[in-house]
Amino acid sequence: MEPTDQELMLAVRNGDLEKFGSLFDRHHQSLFNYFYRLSADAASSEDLVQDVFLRMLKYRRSFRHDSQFRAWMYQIARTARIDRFKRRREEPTSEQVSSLRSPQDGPDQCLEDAEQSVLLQKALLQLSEDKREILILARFQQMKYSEIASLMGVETGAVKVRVHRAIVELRDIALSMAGERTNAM
Amino acid sequence: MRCEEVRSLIADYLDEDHEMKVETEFREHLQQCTECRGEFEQLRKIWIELGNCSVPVHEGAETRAALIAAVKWRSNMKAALKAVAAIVIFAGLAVGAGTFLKSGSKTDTRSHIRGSDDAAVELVEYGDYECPPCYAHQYHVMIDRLLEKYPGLIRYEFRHFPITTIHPNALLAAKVAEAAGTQGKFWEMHKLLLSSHDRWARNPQARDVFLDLAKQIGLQPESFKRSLDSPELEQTILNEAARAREAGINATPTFLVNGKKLEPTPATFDEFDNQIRGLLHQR
Repeated sequence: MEPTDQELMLAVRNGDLEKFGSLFDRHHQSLFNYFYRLSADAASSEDLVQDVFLRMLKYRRSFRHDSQFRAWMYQIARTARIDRFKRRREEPTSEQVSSLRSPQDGPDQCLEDAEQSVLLQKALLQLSEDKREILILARFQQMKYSEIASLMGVETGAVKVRVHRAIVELRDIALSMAGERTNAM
Repeated sequence: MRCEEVRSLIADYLDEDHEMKVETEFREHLQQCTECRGEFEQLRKIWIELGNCSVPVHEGAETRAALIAAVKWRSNMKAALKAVAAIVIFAGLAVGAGTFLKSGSKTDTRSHIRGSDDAAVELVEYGDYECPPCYAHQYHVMIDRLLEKYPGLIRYEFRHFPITTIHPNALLAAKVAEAAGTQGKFWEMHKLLLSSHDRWARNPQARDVFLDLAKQIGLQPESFKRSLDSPELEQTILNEAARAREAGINATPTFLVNGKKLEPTPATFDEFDNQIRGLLHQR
């Protein structure tokens, strides 16, 4: 039977550093997705993925028998991203937003209704940071509202309210962008 | 159900694992109210579309290579530390008392850790201040000596495991150490408790003795009493003990070295030293 993430991380914590490669293989894409959807910047997302894994290695002893690996990993991911902003003060620029790759470019294709999906990705980047993050965690990273609540240190009810506000705002932005596009044609 | 209420429940419904107590009422309202149904369908469509968006495939080969290099670097650091350990052991260097605190080691008042984070040997003790073998063997003195003998090579952590069924003052004593910790004096109180057990162990008036001990090491009395009476602090200790029980701990003292139980439990400093030295040689 495959070891769980928690078992692998406990082994790493206890000195079996070789197990770290398996954890990387399991989670690098999902972490990259998280950062990429927040920033639409592949290079910076790549750096952050590396930073998170190095931090996990450095702080491996803070992982305890009762820690949930995914929650612990995202906690580190959020801190890494905040630290990076503090250092660089970088936010997605309008150039980055407009350079978001279209689905015809290759592997990053949307599965259906490609045009609508690209519009949504652009709209997502117009949302405020906190609203964007909560939608990404809930929709893309498949986290339960209760997990997000624990990660952000708020009540589950507050997460539901925030998800609702974020999705309403995303809809409004997407509708407005779609209107602009229609007018321009 | 009112429109406002229905709209506040849309996020609940979007969650695939949703469990809504009022789902029937929610759906009935949507069937009857065109506006709410429109709003719901629009948001649901956005939600589904969001799930259809993909991102570039992350190859990760370079990152993985950098990570493996970091892992190897850490392993090499351990090997270097092992070499230092060998020098220390074979040359029989005497290291002066108290140097561990000055040589980059640190004290963590929340987790009760002494020694270096990158140490080759991670030693964890599950202890009960009222356990006779714990104070009879003076393990805290042995730990001091080990940390002095192998500076930078041992990371020591103390975890509470009060056996409340047979030791009436064990939980209170653990709280005393934690309460001292809130004023930055966990280790001072830890040692004092173990060296003054004859004054408080099995003593129905232990609380008065503890207040006196607090005074002895210069703790602010009112703040100490408040911490001592804090239910949260007690719960923290009990939670720590529950986690230990789940991990198979059932006696005190129990020592874990790099996650494995040290068996048999050493009874003298020389026995302890031999076991640690053996481990340092293996690594």
